[in-house]
Formats: sequence, structure tokens, C-alpha cells
Amino acid sequence: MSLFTLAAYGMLCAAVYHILPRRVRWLVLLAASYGFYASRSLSSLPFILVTTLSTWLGALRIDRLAADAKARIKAEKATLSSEEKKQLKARARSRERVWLYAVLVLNFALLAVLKYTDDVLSLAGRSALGLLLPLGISFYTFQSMGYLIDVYNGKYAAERSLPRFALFVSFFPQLIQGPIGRYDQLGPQLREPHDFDYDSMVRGLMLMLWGLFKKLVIADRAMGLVDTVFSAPAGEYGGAASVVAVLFYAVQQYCDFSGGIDLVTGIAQLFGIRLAPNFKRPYFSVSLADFWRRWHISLGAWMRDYVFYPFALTRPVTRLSKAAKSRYGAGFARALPAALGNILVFLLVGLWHGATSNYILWGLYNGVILAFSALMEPVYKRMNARLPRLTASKGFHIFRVLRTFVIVNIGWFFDRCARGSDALRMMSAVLTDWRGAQLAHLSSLGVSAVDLRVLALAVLLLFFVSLAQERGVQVREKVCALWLPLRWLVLIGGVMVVLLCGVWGSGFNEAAFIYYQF
Amino acid sequence: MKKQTLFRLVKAVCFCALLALCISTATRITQRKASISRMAPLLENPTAYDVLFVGNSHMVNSVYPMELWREYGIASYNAASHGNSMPMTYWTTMILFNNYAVPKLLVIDVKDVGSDSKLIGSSADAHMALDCFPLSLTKLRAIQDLMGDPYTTDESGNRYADLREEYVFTLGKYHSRWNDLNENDFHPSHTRQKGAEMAVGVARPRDYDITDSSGDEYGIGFVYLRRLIEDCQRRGVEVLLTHLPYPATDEEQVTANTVRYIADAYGVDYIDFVSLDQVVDYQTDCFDYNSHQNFSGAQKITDYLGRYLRDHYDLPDHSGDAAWAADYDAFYEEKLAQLDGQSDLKSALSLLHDDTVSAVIELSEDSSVYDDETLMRLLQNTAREHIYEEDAYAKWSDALYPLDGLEDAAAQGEACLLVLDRGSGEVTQAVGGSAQVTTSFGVLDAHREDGKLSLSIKRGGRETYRQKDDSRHDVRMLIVDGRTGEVAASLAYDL
Repeated sequence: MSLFTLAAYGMLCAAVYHILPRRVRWLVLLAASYGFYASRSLSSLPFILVTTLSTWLGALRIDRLAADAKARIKAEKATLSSEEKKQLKARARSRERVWLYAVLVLNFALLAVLKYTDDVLSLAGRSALGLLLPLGISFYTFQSMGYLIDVYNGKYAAERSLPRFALFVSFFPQLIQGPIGRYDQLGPQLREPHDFDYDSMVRGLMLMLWGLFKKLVIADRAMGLVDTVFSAPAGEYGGAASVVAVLFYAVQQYCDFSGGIDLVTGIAQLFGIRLAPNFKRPYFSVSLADFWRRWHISLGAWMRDYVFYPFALTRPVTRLSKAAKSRYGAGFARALPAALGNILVFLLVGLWHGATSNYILWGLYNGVILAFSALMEPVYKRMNARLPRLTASKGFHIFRVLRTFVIVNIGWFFDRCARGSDALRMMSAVLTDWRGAQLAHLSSLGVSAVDLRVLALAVLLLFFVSLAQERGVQVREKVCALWLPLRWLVLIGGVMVVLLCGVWGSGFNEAAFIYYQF
Repeated sequence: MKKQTLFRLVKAVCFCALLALCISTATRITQRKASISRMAPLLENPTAYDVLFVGNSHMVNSVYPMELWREYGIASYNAASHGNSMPMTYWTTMILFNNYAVPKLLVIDVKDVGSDSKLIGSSADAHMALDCFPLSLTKLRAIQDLMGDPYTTDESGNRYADLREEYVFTLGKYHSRWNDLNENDFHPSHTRQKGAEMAVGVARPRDYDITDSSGDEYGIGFVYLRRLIEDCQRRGVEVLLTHLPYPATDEEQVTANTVRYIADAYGVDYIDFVSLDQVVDYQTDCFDYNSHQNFSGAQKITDYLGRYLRDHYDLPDHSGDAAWAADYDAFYEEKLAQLDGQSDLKSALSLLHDDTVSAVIELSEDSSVYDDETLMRLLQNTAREHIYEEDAYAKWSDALYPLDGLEDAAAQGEACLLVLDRGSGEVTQAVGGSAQVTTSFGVLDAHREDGKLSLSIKRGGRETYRQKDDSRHDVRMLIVDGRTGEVAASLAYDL
């Protein structure tokens, strides 16, 4: 299914959604989601059904156990001693935990087996089984497990209706590459019927167009050079080409992922549903921590809530922090759980990308820098206090943005190379084997003069739009407020630019997002 | 309805209409023009043709509707397309029938009927066959049927099932051409050959043996052939099946022989040129190793078919049609253009197998042509006369015209002058190279001395041509425009 087909499918489903009576609208979404899933990958259907059923049942069971314990304590309030009440609660909690772990293990094991078996076999020198990763398995597993943990933590009650829960897991716009939704935010929106809203519809369509522009005009056009340089045999390209390739990859990766997210967010908006934001102009970040708060926001939030905090609050970490306090001071002790948590989170995120050396190094690279930043934070604070004019200046802000961009791009070497050693070799070429002359013939790097011209103009447009958004300008509102002929010129011009300058059609699978594989 | 809602509705409709207009304009401009250029005359005036020829590249290269009209007054169009399978032929014919017009007669070439694939050519071939047709229900059904199978892939390994969208909306295929647009994309030129294509060149054919065995109907092609015949008969369209000539393998001949059962079952005529084995001469008439027919072969097949159609079907005579005459004039210019500046002697000689173009051919005393069997055969081929064999509907039979003079000149090491006067039908051979001949295009005076030829043509006492270049060449040719009698081109070759 191409992106245009996806967009058309979304529009068609939205039309049906708004035409049918309010009470069946959620059923339209469910049918559209399962129809989409079956058409994309019929063989993946059992996997999403297993996750849906196990999570729904597990959450219901956990909910029931908690409710039963509560009801029994209430009923026997007069006869039970405080100790007995505690025991009853603890016993129920223990049973809930069994259910929680059982469902977590089942689903994460399923994900791990499908995702890592081939990597492990190849590491062991055995031939791969060629297991196909079911469509969107990472995203719907994370989303479902988040729901389960929230129910376990008593954040909200379990969903009683299986079809409604199935819709939460399978809502088609977010299946391909997220964002990872939270049940308390997304669930009610999916359940509630939404009335047709002309303005919301127009803004949804505009967001879809912007997403297609980023994905087809920028990301897929930058892909040629990225693939050529990163797939070349060792030593074929020098440092100059490596730097250009990683910069192109930075653009490709951002536009591919955020473009896809814009598209699906726009599609969801056609139904009146607002998905969680996943990007907030990450290349304008002033630190790596800031970057990860703006990039793949829903995954970052998931990791924060379900890995980082639970880990930082574990007994061993708390004890370690206390021990560090007496030895290194309170500031260090406060930062230590965060530092360790960051390393763990990024190691896991790296592993989630793949069980290969490059992703593990990528995770460690980010985790260690963030840990170092967390530990050094008191020093930075003191420095900022001593040099307030410098740190508040525009120049220093730009320096921080550029510094962060460089740090992120070093990480992209690990992300894009097939092996960690390849990334290290390419980075070493930047320092020791520049070969700037290779840039004189960009066409040999897989990008034509036309590609370059189109890319340059498109990236420039993206930059100015992002800059305006960063300054608080609501770009879509501005476009909507234009004089009608001018507005139509912008919109029709946008569609034509995407259709003519986008890379699509003729066997090119533009729907194959980079994050699709994760 | 509220005023604001109505206003928004009108706005949305206007916006969509404007967007659709922009997209359709972009689609039209960026689309490769080969397909529409080939079919536009038929699609613009579909009722003007009594006969349609359908099939694959063998049909495209073998039948010239313009010559059929000139010689027999038949209004026909060659709607075949390169790489067409029988299912593709079926569907393109259905699009024509459903959306345009039905002819009186449909001539179907059965080459590749034994194939079990719905698509046998490249994806470019499939685009060539389908792009010319605007979106319609029949076209959608065609794409769904031809490309619905998830296992059929194109030459790059892409699944046709994944490419269906670009056949429905061709912008998907051609959108990136915006950087290569030229004048023809904005004002496309149309074919002057009514769908046919001249294949100019001479190649050695592969070896073959004639077999009369037949087999079972195997392959999806037979299913679609039957469907096509049944559909034609339901619509009152007469059908003629052909198996155009090429050195077919045993397997291909067995398949073609099996078609005879289908022809008999439906009561339609079937001409199997392969088993007939007398209309074309594979030594002179093959364009490539796969044995598509070149210009010379096509002329012979066209003439054979013309006579057959005239004798077996009740087709109106369009001989006096001014529009056709104008079209033929354009086609004739194209034939002359192919000859003018033709750098390959074999190709030039194959192009001279044309009874509308006169020529004067001069061979020098020691010309290497005399030692080249293929060139000698091609020279004889230029002079083939109207020799009819009994039971054969061929003006140009495969029996070679006896060019004794040429053979004598070769044997004696003398120069030779051949004058092919299509106006009178005479062929003059002058050993030694000197001659004075009265032709339909004037009095030709050729005088050879010291290995150099001086040549002039006079008409009505006025010299219309004098050869100025007296340098020596293996072969020299004057091409004479059959319409005006003027020299259209002067060619020289050294081997």
C-alpha cells in the first residue's frame, strides 16, 4: 500500500465514519483498522490478536483481583484486623503481579523471538530463519503493555469491551510506526463519536500534505546518497563523503519518521482524533536531553514511565544513591539514579532497534552522554549563574543548538551503519582520510544535480517552517488565514510539488518507513 | 442547509475540481507520448476503420495499414502493441470495443497464445499497451485481471500487483519526467503509420523446420483467444486469425497448429504464415534474431493480407478518401526519410522493396557486393515483380526475380546498373554500367568511363538531375520520389 493509498484509505474511512450514525462510528474505526491490517499483512493477524486478547484478559483479571480484594476488605471491614487487611491486599497484589508478569513476558518474549532470533543465529554463525516481523508489532506491544502496567498501577480501570480494546491496539493510522498512545488519552477518543468539523478536517488534510512532502520530497530523495555511501565497501569513501552522508541521513531520518507521523496524525484528525505528538523540531534542541524530549516523544515518555522511573526507584539504585551521598555529596547522589536510568533506557532503546553492535554502541553513546550531563548538571548550573549574559545570549543558544546537532550526528553514524566497527571506521576517516575531492562528483554518490536542487529548496522550506513553529507561529493557521486564491495556490501548489517532485511509484516502496523495521 | 455550510461545500467542490484539473494536466504532460502517439488517430476517430489488427510486436511490424489502403482501399488500423500477451490483446480490444467502436473485422495474431502468463512483455510494454486509454471501467477491469495475480513480476522483479496504481494513474510512473519535458510533451505528434512501425534492418534469422504436429490447448492464452472470438461474434465482428511468419520453433508451431481447431470450432479463417512458408524470405526479411519482419517482409505480408481481405470479406472501398490520401502522403515522406541518409546498405536495400519508390542502383566493377550472398539476395529482393503463384495471395512471392544481368556482371567483374522503375514496373539491368533508359521519371542517361559514372535524368527535354560527385563507391543509389519523379536522395556505400 503506497502512502497515497494510505491517505486515500484514510479519507474514505473518514467519509464513511462521518456519514454513519454516531453509535456505530467506533465500529467503523475497528473495521477500517482490521481491514488495513489484513490487507497489509494477513499473516500478522494472529500476532496482533494474541497481544490484544492476552492484554485484555490480563488487565481484566488484574482489575478483578484488585476489585475483589477491595470488596472483601470493605465487606469484612468490621471483622478483619489491620494486619489481616494488609495480608489480604498483599496476597491480591501478588496475584495481580503474576498476571502482569505473565502477560508482559508472553508479549515481550513474542516480540523478542520474532525480532532477535535471526540476529542471534547470525551472531552464532548459524543461518537465519528469515522470520518476518509482524506489521507494527513493536508499537502495538509497547502501547498494550503500557496499558497493562497502568491498570496494574491502578491508574485507570480495565476496558471491559474486547472490541473497544482491540480498536485501541489496532487503530490503523498509528500501527505502522506509532506514536505509542496511552489508553487514558486515546481510548476515550476512539470510543466517543466525533462530529464532522470542517476546520479540523482542513487542518488534518494540510498536515497529511506536509507529512507527504517531508517523506516523499525530502527523505526519499536524500536516500540515494545515504544508501550509496553507507552501503559502500570499507575505504571507498573518505571523511568528506561520510560527513555529507551522515548529514543527509539526519535529514532523511527526521523527514521519514516525522513525515510519516504527520501523515498519520493528519489522518487521525480526519476522524476528530488527536494523536500524541511525537516530534517537536528536535534539531533545534539545545542539549542531547532536550533532543530526546523532542524526538520520538511517545517512546521517550513510555521509557520514562515504565523503565526509567521504576528502575530509578528500585531498592538497589536507592541504596547506591544513598551510599554515593556520603562519599560524593548530595548533588551527585541525586543525579546518579538518573544517570544510570539513562544508560539503561538508551541501551534498551538501542536493543529495540536491533541486537547488533551498532545499535548497542548507539544506545551506550547516548546513554553515557546523558549520564555524564546528569552528573555534571550542578557544574553547568554554577557556570550559568556566573556567566548569565553569555548563557542568555542568542549566540550561545545557536552554539548549543549546533553542538547538540553535532553530538546527535555522531550518534547517527552508529544508527545507520550495519556494524559498530563500520561506524568507527567512518568516523576515523573524518579525522584521518578526508578526500574532499569526492564531493566534486556528487552524482557518483547517488544524487543527481536535480535531486540536489530539489532537496536544497525543500530543506530550506522545512527549515523556515520549523523556525517559525519554534517561534510559536501556527503555520497551518496562517495558511488558513490567507486570502482564498492565495491559500488555494499554496495548497494546490503543495500537492503538485509532492506529486511531481516526490519520489514514489514504479515499484518504489515509499511506504517502507525507516521505523517500519523496528 | 446553513449558508456557511453551503458556502463551504461549494468551496470544497471548486477546490477539488481545480486540483483534479491540475493533476490531470500534469498527468497528460508528463506521460510518455509513445503510447498515445501510436493510438491517437484511432481513438480520435474510432469509427473510421473497418479492420483492426491486434497482437504483439510481430503484428506491429508486419502489417502497414497505409499500404493496405493504397493498394486495396481498406481502412484499417494496427492496434497491436509490443509484448502483448493474448490476455492483454483481449483486454485492449475490449477497451476499444466498449469505449470506442467495433470494426467490421478483427485480425488477431496468435503468436504466444501458448503462454501461461497474463503478461509476457516488460512493464514498459504494458504501459505502452494501456497508457493511451483514459481511465474507464473496462480499463480498471483489465488492470485488475492482468495484474491481480500476486506472483507475476516485471523484468525488475517488482510485483505487478504492487504496480497497479501506476497503470490506473500514470502520474505514478511518469511524474519525475518534469525535468525532461520537451516540445513533444506539450504538443505531441501522432503516428503516420496508423499504429504500425517500420522495422528497418536486416538480420540473420534462426534456423527452423516446418512441422505439422498439433497438441492440446494449454495455457491461459487459449482461454482468452476463445473469449475474444466469442465476444467478437456476439458483437457481429468478423474474425481472422493469423500466425504471422517467423522461423518458429517446433513448440511454437505445434501451438499455432492447435489454433486451427479453435478456428474450425468457431468457423473463422486462419492463415498460418509459418506453415505456409512462402510469403516472406527469412534471408532478406528478418529484422532481428527473433525474426520480427523488417520493411521488406512487412510489405509482403501486408500485400498478402490485402488480397485475402479483399477476396474474403465485404469491406468498403475507401480508395478515394482525401483524408487517407493526405495521411498516405505523410507516410510516404516517412518512407523517404528512412531511405534518405540510410547508412546501412542492407537496410537501404530492404527499404527498396517498395513498389512506390523507384531507384537507380549502380555497382562498380570490383564492388564487394558481388561477393556477398546476402547483399546479392537483397538486390534481387528489390526487384521482385508481381509474380503470382497459384493459390497464393502474394504480389511479392518468395521466388527471386531472375536478375541475370546482375549475375553476369558479377561473373565478369563488370559494373552493373539496375533501374527499378516502379511507374512502369520495368527492371533494367545494364552490364558495364552504361545505358540510356526511358523511364516513368524521365530519360536516364548513364555513361561509365574509367570507372567513373556520369548520370543525368531528363524530363520533357529539361535536365532534372545530374550526378555531380564522380568519386568511386562500391554501390551508389538514386532514390526517386514515385509521386513527383524527382530524385529524393542520393546514397553511396563502400564496404
